[in-house]
Amino acid sequence: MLAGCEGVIGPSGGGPGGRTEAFVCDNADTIVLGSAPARRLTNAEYDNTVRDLLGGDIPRLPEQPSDAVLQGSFENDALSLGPSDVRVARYETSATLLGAHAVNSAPARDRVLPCSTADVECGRQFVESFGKRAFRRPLTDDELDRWAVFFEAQRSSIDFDAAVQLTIAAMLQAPQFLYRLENEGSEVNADQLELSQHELASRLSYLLWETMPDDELLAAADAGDLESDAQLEAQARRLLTNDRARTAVRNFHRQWLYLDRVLGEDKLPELFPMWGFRARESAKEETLLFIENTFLGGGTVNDLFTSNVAYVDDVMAQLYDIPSPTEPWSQVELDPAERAGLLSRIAFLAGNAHDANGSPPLRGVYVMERLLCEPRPSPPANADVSTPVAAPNQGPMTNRDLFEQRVEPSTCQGCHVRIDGFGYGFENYDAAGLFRAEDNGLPVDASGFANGIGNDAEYDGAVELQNLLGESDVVRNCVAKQWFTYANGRPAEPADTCQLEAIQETFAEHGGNLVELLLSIVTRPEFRLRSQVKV
Amino acid sequence: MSRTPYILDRRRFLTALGLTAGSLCLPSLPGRGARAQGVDPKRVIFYITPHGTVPGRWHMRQPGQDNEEYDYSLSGLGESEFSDILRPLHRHRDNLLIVDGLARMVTYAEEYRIRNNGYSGDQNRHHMSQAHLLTSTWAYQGASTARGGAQSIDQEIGNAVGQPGRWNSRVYGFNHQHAYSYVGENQPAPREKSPQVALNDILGLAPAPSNSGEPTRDDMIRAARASVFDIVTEEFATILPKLSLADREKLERHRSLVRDLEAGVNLAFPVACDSSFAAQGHVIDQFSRITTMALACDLTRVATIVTQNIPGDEFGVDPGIDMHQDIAHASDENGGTTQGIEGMVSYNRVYAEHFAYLLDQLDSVQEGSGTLLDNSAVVWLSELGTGNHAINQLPVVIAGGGAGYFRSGRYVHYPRTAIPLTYGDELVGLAHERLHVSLMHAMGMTERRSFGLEQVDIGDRTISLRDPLPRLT
Repeated sequence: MLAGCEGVIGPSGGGPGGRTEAFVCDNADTIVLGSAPARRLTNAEYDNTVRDLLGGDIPRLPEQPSDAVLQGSFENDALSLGPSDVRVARYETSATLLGAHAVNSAPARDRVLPCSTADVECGRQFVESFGKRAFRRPLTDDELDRWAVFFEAQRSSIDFDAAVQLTIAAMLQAPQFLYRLENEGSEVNADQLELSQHELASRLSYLLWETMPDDELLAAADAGDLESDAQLEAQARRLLTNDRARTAVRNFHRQWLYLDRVLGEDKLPELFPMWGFRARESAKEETLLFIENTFLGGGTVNDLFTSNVAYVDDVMAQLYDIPSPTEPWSQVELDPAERAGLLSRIAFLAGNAHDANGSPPLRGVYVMERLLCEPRPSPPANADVSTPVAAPNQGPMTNRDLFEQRVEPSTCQGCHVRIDGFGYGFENYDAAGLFRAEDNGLPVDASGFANGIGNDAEYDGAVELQNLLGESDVVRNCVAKQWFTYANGRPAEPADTCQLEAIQETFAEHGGNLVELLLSIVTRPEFRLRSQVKV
Repeated sequence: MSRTPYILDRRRFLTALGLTAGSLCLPSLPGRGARAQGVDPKRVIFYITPHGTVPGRWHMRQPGQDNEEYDYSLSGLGESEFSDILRPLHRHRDNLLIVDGLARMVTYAEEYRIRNNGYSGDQNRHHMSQAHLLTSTWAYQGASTARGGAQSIDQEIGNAVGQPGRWNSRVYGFNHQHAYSYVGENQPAPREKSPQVALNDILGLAPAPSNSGEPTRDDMIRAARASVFDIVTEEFATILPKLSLADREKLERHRSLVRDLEAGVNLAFPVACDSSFAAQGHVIDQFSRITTMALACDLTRVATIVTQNIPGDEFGVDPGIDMHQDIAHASDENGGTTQGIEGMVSYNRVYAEHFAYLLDQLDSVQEGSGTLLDNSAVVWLSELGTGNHAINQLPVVIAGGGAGYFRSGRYVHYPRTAIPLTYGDELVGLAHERLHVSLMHAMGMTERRSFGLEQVDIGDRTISLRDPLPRLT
């Protein structure tokens, strides 16, 4: 069995009473479905969706409270996507502004109005065509009747434009718009429903684009042209060539790899005078550009950990000690002995460090939690987790010496052999991620032993460590698991085991090709299904 | 500027517009939330300033009684007898409780357990104080800095005294570094930093019709807001039966929040309520006026105003001077610089002036035989005690009578005892956390004995955080 499939989940993920269930795939040929909670649009999805739904220059909308992020999960986790008083009130304010925008902006008006006669019949056509795009599926007969009556009441008592405005304002507050509801499916058996073509189109577009289906995808759903896996894959490939996919791929990695962390990092100005607001912003952008181009350029997991290609502005060029580019974000190649892969970039190195020195434990824990998909280890209550400093009577020591001294007791070793086995690999980079061959006047020792990655081995330095991680089955399976979590809007459940293993196997067969991973997720039979609702 | 008070009654308004109820699917309107006849609601406002104060220029202690618990009346004091920092509040002296001698015990306790008991965490006193000030419980330390670890007192009170169709509470202004108000662990409460958006939020609950006789087209569109709510809640009703239990609970909650908004459309403003607002003057004062309007119109009953960190030119120092390093950190009365101490005094006096302006506004709204200020508890807190991060001489002023709960017009002093800290003994008074219990009692939540932690251990001392503070009532 693949390592990523082993383990149990605790009370938080278990069934009633907090029992634990093992992740074991009993029969890979049967299809078992995990849960499919209704997902509210995230703030990003909402903004993208109203942009695509209405067109024109969208007015400035009141800022929504941020989507709460659960530890180790994503902003689109259904569990955290609840309503609140402020959110609901601001949905109303936004919907009201957007309704007015739709009638007052010429491009938006063209986008939402299918006719110009301003009569009852045109109103019904509008309700039908706009409703279908807002709810991302054709209205039911009952819905069409209700909304047409609503429209006509406004049209007859005020006027046609007011009716358009108010209908849009109302539809944008309706649950069919704000939530991704999947209740139109047809029964496959007592446990499973097959999604409607439109529900399938939404799953696809919100995964790859973080927004509603475009006209072409909606038309394909209308025509039943998503029935075959080949058709679905063709649509997915089309979506992936669009810039919206770029934004979505960036957003996934920003969350998975904690790339916002570097934005909050202060460094001691005496030691790092170049570290300021711009350096933080640029460091994040540099890593995102690297990932986005690697990913959509047909790259693999291995490329993420081994490529020395970078896109730099003058700030990053200075930090990487290379000539400034002629224009920002030019493609360059970094010194492959010093900088290759995601984990020798400033965003990771400076984002997982203290204000004066790098932190082997923070960096090691990051590798285990984010890249190996292991639960985050935490120190026992009596651990001293302050930054270690040399005692006055000791001679010069490297950062590594200090940390090794700190974790010397046997009670620490149980965890730290493993954590620091990764963490020491980054000792060639200081608190701001700058390369150093010496630390405190002493040569840097960045050797370690990577344990629990399948291809366990000794290495020397972050480049060698990343070569190992790039080849690791555990890392590759973890990448698949992260995307699976993101695609389903919830953590993996025991019922997902066979599906997840199958996705991981396909991913391996494709050599860890990242675009192929997405294609294999959307062409799985489970992607077309959901579990029956037990009312 | 229009100053016409008005009453919004949806049915009458629609009738006046000549709209027929049938075409609008008017639902039966819920009767909840209406204010009991003749009883003005109680309100609480938190006014929070950064960096602490200069205790020797803030307090108004009786000489020779530092080890006594005592209080005295402020009524007879002349303006010059008020301390340098509190002097701008003199005109409100009969409405004040100046509370001297509180210490934030949760902050000491969390520091203690980090330093001595192996807990990990951010010990920056700004971050810790911002996390603890309104939550009174252990900080959330999971994000490599300290943030609020549970729902804060403003949210707790707001949820208890709020009414459907109105905001339970509002947070206005700025963050000093992190948020003070939290809806839950590491989840800051929504905060509005733009007065205009804050106003829109508030009036969004009850938009004013134009006052001319004939309704305009805009009036009619605004009036149709009720019909929009109707069809939205109807859509929820058709969807809910198709959902799983968990999804149904979530969307049911969403629907009830929409209904609350709808209920708000139908709630009448008090006749005396003045909803006018001009976006003029200092941003702190703008928030004070919005807060006054929101409370007077009963659109919320709890507000938190987090003041901005005012720039140097507003308190008479060179704007190029680093407020944090050169003023706050240099304001220690024993070891600081003249520039630091005097800068810090005038910094705080300017905040006192803005606070007095807020009290002026509240006091100008008549309610029954008194004013809005009488029915409110307006609490001035600072994140810290001093610019050097002390947390044992916290400056606390409670203005307003809390609808008869507080006995105002007095100076209250608590004596101090020693607690052992790693850097030596520290003299502390009573637990600042108990102030929140007092406020809950003032707001009618009299069944509550504590808020946040009930007690903390610091060294061998166990310090109770239970029960309202003595001598305030």
